[in-house]
Amino acid sequence: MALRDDNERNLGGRDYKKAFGQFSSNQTQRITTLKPVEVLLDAQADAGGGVHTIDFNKGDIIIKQSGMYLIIAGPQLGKVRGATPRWIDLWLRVNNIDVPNSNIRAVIIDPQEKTVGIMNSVLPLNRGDTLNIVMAAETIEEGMGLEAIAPDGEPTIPSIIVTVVQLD
Amino acid sequence: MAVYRLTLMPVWELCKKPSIVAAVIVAGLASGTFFPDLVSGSAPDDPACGRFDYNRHCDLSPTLFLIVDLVIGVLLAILFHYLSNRNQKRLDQIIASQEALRNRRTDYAAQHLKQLFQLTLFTMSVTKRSVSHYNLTVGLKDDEKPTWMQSVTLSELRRDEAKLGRVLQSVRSILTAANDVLDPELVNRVDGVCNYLGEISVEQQADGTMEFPKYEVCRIKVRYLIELLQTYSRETRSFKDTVEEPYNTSPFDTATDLTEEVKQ
Repeated sequence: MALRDDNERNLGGRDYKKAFGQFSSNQTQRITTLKPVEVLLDAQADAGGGVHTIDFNKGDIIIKQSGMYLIIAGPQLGKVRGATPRWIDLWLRVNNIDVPNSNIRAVIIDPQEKTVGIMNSVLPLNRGDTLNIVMAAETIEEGMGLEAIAPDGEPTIPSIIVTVVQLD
Repeated sequence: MAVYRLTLMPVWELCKKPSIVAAVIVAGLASGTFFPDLVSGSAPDDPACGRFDYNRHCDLSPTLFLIVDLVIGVLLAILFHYLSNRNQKRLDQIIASQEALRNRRTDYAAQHLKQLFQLTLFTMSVTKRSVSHYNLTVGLKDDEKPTWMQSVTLSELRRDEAKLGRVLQSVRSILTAANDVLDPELVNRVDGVCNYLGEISVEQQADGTMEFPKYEVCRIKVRYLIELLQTYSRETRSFKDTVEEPYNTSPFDTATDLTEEVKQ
């Protein structure tokens, strides 16, 4: 195999031909408007000595290599008050366009209830495309949204974990 | 009552008509096939006739008949080859002219898209600077005429936004006009960037300041696209999508704070 450019080689000397990225947020994000809001991300896992084959800026995941991508997101859902069943929806958005058939809905009844939604999708993405996770809730009165939990003696539970893997 | 005089068309004029010539040839072939005596003469053969004699007393011998047929066949083959060659040349010319036109359209689209996205990048920077100028006027006291300054900077801001909208419209027009000659992946990428930028507009915050949302993301998306458009080759008429930057370098680390820049 021919040697690739040093720029495409990380410090450990491994080649990464396919892009990947794991993003998370350690902040609780409550929904304060009835309009769809973008989920914010604040951390990216450093794999293999700081290699970032996908970028992010706040809620925007920016693709650096064109290809087919598998996107998996696990939001930690909850609410603050109220005992009425309320729904919260999440879906994907690419380049500010909602992705069809990517929606999920969770219904939360009790403030003590914590639900992890599962979103997964396979999308063709190009270099420079922007991926967002968007959420909307039935009401803004009950403090619905994504919850980061800091249990004693355990790592912080992020409010959302997003995994993006290039397939081809 | 009008009297029409019919004039006979000269034989030479008739020979110029391809349909007449074709009809004569077909008639000759048909009669030669089905009525050889009619074509080759009906006189009885003289015993003194040689193999290649042909006159009032000698009919065509089979050998001479074969030779005549061969000559006719060769002539017809040459005629058909000439016609076919002429049509092929015309077709080649048409294909070449269409290909040249297509190449010109591709070159124009690639070059114009690159210029328009460079203009987009410039206009976004100008808009961002106008936002920074506007934000500087928010905390001013009354004696510093903040309202006048705000109205001036706001009009500049709206003008820049309108310009950005016009540039994006031009990009979409080029996409519509040249989507048959451009690579579908490129069309998708450009369309994606246009969709993204089209949804972005300067927003006013609760404290009265203006914000260009996701400016850095917009900038990096346009930059990626310009990088791709710059790889266009007139030899291959294609783009080369390469990732030249180090993976561990984030474009967001080097963002310049334009507000600080304006203050200086």
